[in-house]
Amino acid sequence: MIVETDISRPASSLPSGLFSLLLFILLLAPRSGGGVQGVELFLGKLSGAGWKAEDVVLRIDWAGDARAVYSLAASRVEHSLLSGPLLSPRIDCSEGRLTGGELSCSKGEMTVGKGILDKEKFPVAFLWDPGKALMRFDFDQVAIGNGRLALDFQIKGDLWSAAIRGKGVDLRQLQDTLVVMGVSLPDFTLEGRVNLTLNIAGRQRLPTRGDWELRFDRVLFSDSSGELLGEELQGRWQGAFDRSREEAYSGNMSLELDAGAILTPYAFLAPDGEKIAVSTDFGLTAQLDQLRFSRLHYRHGEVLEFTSRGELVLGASPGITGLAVSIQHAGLSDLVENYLKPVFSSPMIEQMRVSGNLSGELLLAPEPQVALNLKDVGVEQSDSDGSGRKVFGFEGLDGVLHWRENGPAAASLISWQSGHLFEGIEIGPSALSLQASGQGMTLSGPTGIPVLDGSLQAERFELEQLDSGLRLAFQGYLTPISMNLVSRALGWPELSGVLSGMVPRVSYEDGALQFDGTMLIRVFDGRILIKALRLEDLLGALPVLQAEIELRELDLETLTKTFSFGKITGRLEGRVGDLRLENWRPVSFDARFNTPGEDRSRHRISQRAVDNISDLGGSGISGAISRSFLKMFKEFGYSRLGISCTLKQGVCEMGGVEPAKQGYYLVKGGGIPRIDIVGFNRRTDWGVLVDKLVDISEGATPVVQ
Amino acid sequence: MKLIRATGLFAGLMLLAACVTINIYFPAAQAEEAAEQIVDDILGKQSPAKDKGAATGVIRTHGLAARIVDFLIPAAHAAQPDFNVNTPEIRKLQARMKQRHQSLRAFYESGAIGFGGDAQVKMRDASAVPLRDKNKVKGLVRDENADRNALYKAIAGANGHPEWEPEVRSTFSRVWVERAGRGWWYQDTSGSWKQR
Repeated sequence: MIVETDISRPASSLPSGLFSLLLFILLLAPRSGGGVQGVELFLGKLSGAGWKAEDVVLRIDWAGDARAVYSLAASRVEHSLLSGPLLSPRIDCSEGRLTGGELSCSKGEMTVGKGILDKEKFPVAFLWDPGKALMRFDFDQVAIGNGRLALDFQIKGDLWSAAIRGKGVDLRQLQDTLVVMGVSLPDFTLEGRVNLTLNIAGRQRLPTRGDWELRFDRVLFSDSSGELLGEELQGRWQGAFDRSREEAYSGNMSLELDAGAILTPYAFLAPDGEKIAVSTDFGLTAQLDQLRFSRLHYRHGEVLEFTSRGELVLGASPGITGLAVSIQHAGLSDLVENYLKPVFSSPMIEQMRVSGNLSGELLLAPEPQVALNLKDVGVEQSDSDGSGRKVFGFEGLDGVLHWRENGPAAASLISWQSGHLFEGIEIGPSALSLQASGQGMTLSGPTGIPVLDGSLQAERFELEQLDSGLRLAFQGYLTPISMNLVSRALGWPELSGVLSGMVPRVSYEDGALQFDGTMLIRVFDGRILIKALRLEDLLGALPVLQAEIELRELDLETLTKTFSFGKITGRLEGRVGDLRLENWRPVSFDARFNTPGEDRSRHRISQRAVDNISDLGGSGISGAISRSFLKMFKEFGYSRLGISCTLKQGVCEMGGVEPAKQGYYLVKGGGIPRIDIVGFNRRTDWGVLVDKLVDISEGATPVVQ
Repeated sequence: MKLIRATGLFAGLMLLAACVTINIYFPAAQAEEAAEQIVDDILGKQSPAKDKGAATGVIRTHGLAARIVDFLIPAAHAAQPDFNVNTPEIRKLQARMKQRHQSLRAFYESGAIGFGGDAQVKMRDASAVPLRDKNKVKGLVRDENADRNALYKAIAGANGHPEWEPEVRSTFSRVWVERAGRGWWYQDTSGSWKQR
């Protein structure tokens, strides 16, 4: 017997209508054997609250009593809880019941169209009791994403609930499945397997409560821009939410990361043996336009622990309306090495070592405000050229940093135990009191910073970041520092004397520090004045120093002794104009050194010094005969000596005290025995000249025939 | 009338003369030599020392003969090179690239990055970069290419011919590949990757 029907009555009344029909068929059926064995009903289009099925066909084979073997198929089923239609679903029930009140199946098999699930067929149990408006599906062993999923789904009236348990579900395939089902997902690449449990209940289309747990292993993810990446992730994510109060969702969740790594534009997160745990509560307004959390807790072993609370506005113009972070502790060494270095590409930061601990409060919104405590912090900056040379460092930094964006902040106080600039310029213990707010920083009062055996006295120091660049104001002076310490620190031959200086003003422009005022070096019984000092890119790849240097009344005897140049007595003055050092090596200058015009001191020059000067000028004294004759004298008299060199493009344009035939006088004789030294080479390779000077100062023995 | 015609002719000649273009050709050989020196310096290779070497060699030995020869300080040769790569800007870029090379070298060696055909550094195999270095490499490559572009431009500018930039670039493109270490990758003219 075939009953064909087209039910097109109002949706809500359908189930009861269908059941009347079924009842009628059941009445027709004989109690035992013979008569009608099966019925095929073409039910056509069926629909109810929130669902719709097309071309529904029910085929029933009686097994006796209310037990039945039947199949139910449709060409298309849509449900408001599904994002897309199910195509050609079909249920074959081998152990079912058809009674006046319910349609159920304890052992059935569901078939769906290809494309959504791995297998087209999977076991199902269900119950449909239209009288109680109850519908329940138990899907067991749904193969999805190469894993297995068990799904219990129940609808009663406008209430529904679902429980999903999945094991070994492949995320990529699950993602594909969800996309096929029409779920819109962020553009993320996902790989790996998860075990998941999800319980969710709701009313109509709104979920009202739920909880979930996701265990993942070897999961990889990346966003489309490649800015957010995760690799080999292993851990657990769980949480719960509730809509108990009508106006909002609230709940909590926690994430534990046991292994793997996540790269964000701001930090690199890798448990590296110590798990990273984040937990938080959350609350979402009913309009879904505001999210808040009050107890976010982040902990990564001894590396970093902080709590946070915040408020975010979602929707069309998202923003952070409140965010506060309270750092319980931050181990700076690990934090810099593991969290921060991977996101910076600066070779300088690469060569920076930081140690110690940090704690404090950061208020980022509404009004940015910072209070950080430093505890035994050390900073060591090495040269980024791979040489490992030290650039600067501080040890035992302690103190508190206060900063506010608007209005005055409390005073910041930083102290340190020791420090150094470059390899050997030692900086002694000191403390700075600073006022920091907005874009600026000001030294609260005069401060002395010990440098070697002297000190840098800072009278005034202000730093401000303006739109036009950094503005710096400094006023201070350098109390005398022993030159023997300075020279030792810089690896020079040991000098006696002192260095001091007045710095009335320092300005900063185009990346360069410009020092007004004069640095004074009292050395060799005279004075060296350094003016117009300008430092550029001081800690960068190519530090540049520019200066004007004046030498006044230097005692040549002390000077030549210091540099093992032989012995010269008398005074020397000079000037190095337009000096430019790059990476601390001269690239250009205009220099001249000579006997001062009014010098009345004794002018003698030793044989060895004669030899060395001859060497530098590229000339000899007048030939081998003179030399063998002159060898009898240990020293000679002179009236004036001098040398000039204009360095440009690696070439030194040389000159002396006055022009000579074919050259220039380096030493103009006077007294007895008298000697003239004439230089011939006007242009000398600077590199060669420096090698010679180094050789001389290192005491290479000259040979005079 | 004759005068006018003569004047016209003269003016025409003047015009003609004014139209004569003086072509200054790109000094390829000198540029190549300069590029080799810069690239060797950046890659930390020893450039074969020129004239200076002999002289310093002598000075380093202390002895009678040496000292006598020493008297003859070599006068500087060819002080003004035909092709100028010696300006503060070029030196600064070169120093920065040399410094950065310390960080880049490992990634040349792993094959993650290589020399592109346009005298730039290119990402060749992003999967060869460990996750923790991914951002760093991206930043290094970005900064390196910015400096390389600035370098080619600065060199052309230093020689008074900004329009030489493409020639400078193609010279460098060749030299980078020539000077690349063994096993490093580069792009050939067709754009496919090859290994040294």
